[in-house]
Amino acid sequence: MRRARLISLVLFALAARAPASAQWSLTGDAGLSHLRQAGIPESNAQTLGATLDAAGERSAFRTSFLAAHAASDRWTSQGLVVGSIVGPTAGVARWQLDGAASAFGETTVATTTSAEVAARARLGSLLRGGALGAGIGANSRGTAHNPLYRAQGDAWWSIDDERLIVNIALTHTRSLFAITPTSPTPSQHISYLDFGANWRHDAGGLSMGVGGGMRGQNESSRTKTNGWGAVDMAAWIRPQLALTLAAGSTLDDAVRGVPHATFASIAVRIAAQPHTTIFSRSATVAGPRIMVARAGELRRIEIRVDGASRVEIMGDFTNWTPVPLEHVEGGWRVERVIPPGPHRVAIRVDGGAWIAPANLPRIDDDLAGPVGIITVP
Amino acid sequence: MTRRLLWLLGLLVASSKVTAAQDSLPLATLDRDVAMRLTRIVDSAGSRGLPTEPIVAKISQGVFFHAAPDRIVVAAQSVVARLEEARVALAPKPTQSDIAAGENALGVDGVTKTALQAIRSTSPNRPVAVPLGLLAQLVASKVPLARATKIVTDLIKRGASDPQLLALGNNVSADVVHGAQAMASLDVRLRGLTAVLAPLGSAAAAVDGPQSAASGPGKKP
Repeated sequence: MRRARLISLVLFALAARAPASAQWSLTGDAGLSHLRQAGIPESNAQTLGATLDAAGERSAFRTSFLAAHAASDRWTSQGLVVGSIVGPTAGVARWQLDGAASAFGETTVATTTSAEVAARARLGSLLRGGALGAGIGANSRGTAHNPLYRAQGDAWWSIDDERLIVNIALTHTRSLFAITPTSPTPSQHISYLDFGANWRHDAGGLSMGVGGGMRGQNESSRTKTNGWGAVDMAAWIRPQLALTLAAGSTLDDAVRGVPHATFASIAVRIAAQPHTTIFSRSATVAGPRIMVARAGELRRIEIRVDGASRVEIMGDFTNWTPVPLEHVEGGWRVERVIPPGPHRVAIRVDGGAWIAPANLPRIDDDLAGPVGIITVP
Repeated sequence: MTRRLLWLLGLLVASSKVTAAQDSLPLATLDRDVAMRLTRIVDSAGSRGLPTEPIVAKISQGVFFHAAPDRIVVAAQSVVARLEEARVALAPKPTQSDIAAGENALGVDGVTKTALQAIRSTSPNRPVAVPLGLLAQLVASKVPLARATKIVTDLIKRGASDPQLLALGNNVSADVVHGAQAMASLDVRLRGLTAVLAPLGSAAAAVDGPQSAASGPGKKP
């Protein structure tokens, strides 16, 4: 147990001190929840939480804390620290080391702590791929200490703003829920298989996720059902203020000692860094918009503009010669050979003035005046 | 003997490229003196191994917009200077596309040779045209140069693909047009991108809440 904690701490320290240029975010949540959790009477509860994320070139770190104050002065709280370090690319696979430590406390119940370390091999690309690995750890409650063994497989798939993650894990331990006043040390070993899937959409001022899964063998849980599911959403109504909603049901976590629960919650989230809000996201772009994509050896330029009868484009890639676009369903299109990289571009609608496309950053060209700057793949 | 033949062949190819560039010069509307000066600029750049297309494009642009002849000459000379600067910054073996992309990026107010060097040193053996495009778009969107350079080099180090870099630049540009502050948009967009790039895979899900999906599902409440 001590060794697992020590290894976890070393991993966290390494992950946390990884590049000073790391991306980071800090958020705090305060809200209300309707909670039905083992050991606490079903009631409305006040909730308080905080999350710190940091991601470097080859490392990631997250720590989160959540507390709920239910009726009859009953408290429940949990904290988690997770860190990962990934090795440099070597052929098709990369190694990854993960560490996790948790604590869970509830009024009238002894605090549970756990620590795990795992090693994995990552395969595939950053956008889609998989990982296979195994880990060891331990947990404790009161005088009871249990070893933990886990084998885990994961797969991920990302398209634009959508991310899908699927995982499967086989856990072997002794259940903390078997501890009773008459039997302070659980003797029964349990093994169970978890299968889960999680979809997340994160774009602009809106973030939402849906997760669910099944547990193959439910001797670890005291619930009748083997399934779990949760939904959550955060809408940023101000650059540093969001409204969050979440609901779901969970199974007993025999490793971390967190009992099964059903919840529905609403909270406000305050962030240390500004976000794009849902209102700025929903604004419409005034004027023609341009998009460029690969089309074999050529590059396809598409311009969307309302009510036009003629659209022309010119830029450094046309030697600043006007090129008319062909009208297709949904917009205007032309395909040509264009070298990759940044290019200056201007468009003209119905013989009007040459303008920069509305969705591009504008720069002042020394001869053409305002033009847009577009990156061609 | 073979070496001399190869040298002659190389000279022939180079001179044919310059001739082709000259052929595409829109010099008919310019007076003879200006036309000669512009031809010499293109000729000289081509013989030094610089891509001539950006210079021809700039001259064509000046002609199209009826710029004063002297302004066209100055603009063409500026392009040559930026091409030289880009070639040095992107040494030792920049492609013609890289040099042209570097020139275009240097044409954006605020982008410096040092920024190009930083990107090249991060990606010494791969084309950098698309990363340079992202840099140019971010700076043009009012992201400070140091921050933009750091973001591009960090993303390259983390293995971001060209489509991912392209999407980031386009999304930030669109957000700015929508009314968002460039830095705020960048923070949001980077969070989305680093979530994909983060060295986590499944651990990205695991860190989604106080309970990992693997060990006991869900985040509550």
